[in-house]
Amino acid sequence: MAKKTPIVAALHEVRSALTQITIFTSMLDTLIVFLVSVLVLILVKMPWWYGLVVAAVYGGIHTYRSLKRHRNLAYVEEKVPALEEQLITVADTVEKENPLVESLRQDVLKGMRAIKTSYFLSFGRLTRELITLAVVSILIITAAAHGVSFIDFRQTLKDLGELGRETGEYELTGEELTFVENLSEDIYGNKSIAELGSDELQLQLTPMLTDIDIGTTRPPESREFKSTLPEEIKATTDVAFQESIPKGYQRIVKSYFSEIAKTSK
Amino acid sequence: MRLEETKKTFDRLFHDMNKVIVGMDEVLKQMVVALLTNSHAILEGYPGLAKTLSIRTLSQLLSLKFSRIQNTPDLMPSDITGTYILEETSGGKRAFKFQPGPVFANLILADEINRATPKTQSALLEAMQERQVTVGNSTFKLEEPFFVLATQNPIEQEGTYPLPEAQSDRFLFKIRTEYPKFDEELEIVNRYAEEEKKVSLKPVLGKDQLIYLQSLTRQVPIATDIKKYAVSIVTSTRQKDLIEYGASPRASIGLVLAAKGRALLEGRKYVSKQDINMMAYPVLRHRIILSFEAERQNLHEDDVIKQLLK
Repeated sequence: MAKKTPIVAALHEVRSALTQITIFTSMLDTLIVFLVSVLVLILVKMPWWYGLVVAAVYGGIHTYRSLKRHRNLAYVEEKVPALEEQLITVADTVEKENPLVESLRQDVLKGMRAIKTSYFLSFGRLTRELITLAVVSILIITAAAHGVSFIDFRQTLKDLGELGRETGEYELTGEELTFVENLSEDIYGNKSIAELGSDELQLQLTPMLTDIDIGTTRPPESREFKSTLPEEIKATTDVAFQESIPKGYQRIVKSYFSEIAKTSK
Repeated sequence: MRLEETKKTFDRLFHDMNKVIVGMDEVLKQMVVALLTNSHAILEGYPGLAKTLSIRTLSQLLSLKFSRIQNTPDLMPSDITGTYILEETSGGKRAFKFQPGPVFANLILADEINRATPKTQSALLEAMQERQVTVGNSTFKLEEPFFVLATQNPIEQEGTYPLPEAQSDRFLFKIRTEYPKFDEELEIVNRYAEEEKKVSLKPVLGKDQLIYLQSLTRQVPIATDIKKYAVSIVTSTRQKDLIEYGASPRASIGLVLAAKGRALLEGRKYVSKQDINMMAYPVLRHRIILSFEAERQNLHEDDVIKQLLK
């Protein structure tokens, strides 16, 4: 931990001033992003508070990046060329004590008195941002007051969902989309055709099958079709019985029926 | 010396050097940075590009003990380090006495270092690394500050012994001297082709001042990001297709130190990225070995380093 020497205090002051400026400009940028998001959300009939999420994400990333860049003393040297390479050298050697380092510190302290906040604030950019803020605010008020919207985003989403359901039956499954490589020779087609090359192919159709003799033509006969349905339609059923007759009786019954059959002939 | 005076001192040093040397501003700066970082440097360039003159001039501006070693194939290690000689005392007794060699100085000009044999080069390089010399059973500490500024030329390779990569790594910088621009060359002609004028140079920096500046160099604060940048340049030499062998962590240390030195030289109290970029060339060019692909594309070390800095 470096002692609280004038140079340490001065470096601390520069860093905290830079932090404040960076946070201020980041907040301004975030506010613009928020208002633009709100305007867009109003125009697409979405809840305005979604803009808070967008602004929070943007603000977080933007502030982190800006702080990382602007808290670096190289940024100060970039804005104040008179301190180029000296400020960083002094910051890197705060622990060292020798006549040269002390003399350099005094020079840097003198130079740091010339640093103004205006070096790190771009008034042109600030003006543009404030104008943007004013314009976007007016647009939001106007759009909200007159209920202006270009599309109903939620309705559009709903419609798209229904469209998707209607066309659902045409959706291809993963199995259908599976690519199967055909390594057979069939992909080259008929070999004889392949060998034809650029030769002219002579095709002749059999005349017997295709020629039409106009003399033999006649108007189509009108035919009447008669119903050939049977007069009586009835359903018959068949039943099979299995009787539990002893084997000796079965033979008697069998011979009885065969006798009947003989007599009926 | 106060902190505020350092810039004035460096300005005076370069002003006086420019009385003798025309152009070569970056070469002179890199030489002084090597001194500030208490390191050694090797100057490479074609003959006649004032390598030796610039080192000699620098030595005149520093009130340091200077010595010059002219390297030749027959130079022995003892010619550099020194040796024991038999000396007769007043009582008629004879005793061995250590006679220090040219290495016992603060600033050494090792001219044409690649003409010395590997054995002699090793003796010098050991002194550079350890900052001490061992002769026989005795070890002698070299006086601080201790710098070796060596020269070599990239042509006339016959009869030379190129420094192995491990040994050239001991040099913080490989400083490349280039041909002067037309106007600079015209100025050189005007200065040296007319009546001979003796330029009297007075020392600008003393030993204590230099040691203070060296400690101040190490104290120059550097931002963590810039330190990471320096290390990433060095580590990227190990992942590039155009480089067969990349730089070692010694290069990372050297690059950061050199950048601190350059910052102090420029009168800044902090290291800038520009310092790293400028110092990357002399720090890395002798620490990387290019691949066949780089050679095929006719790329030099500096071209590849330039790609690394993009």
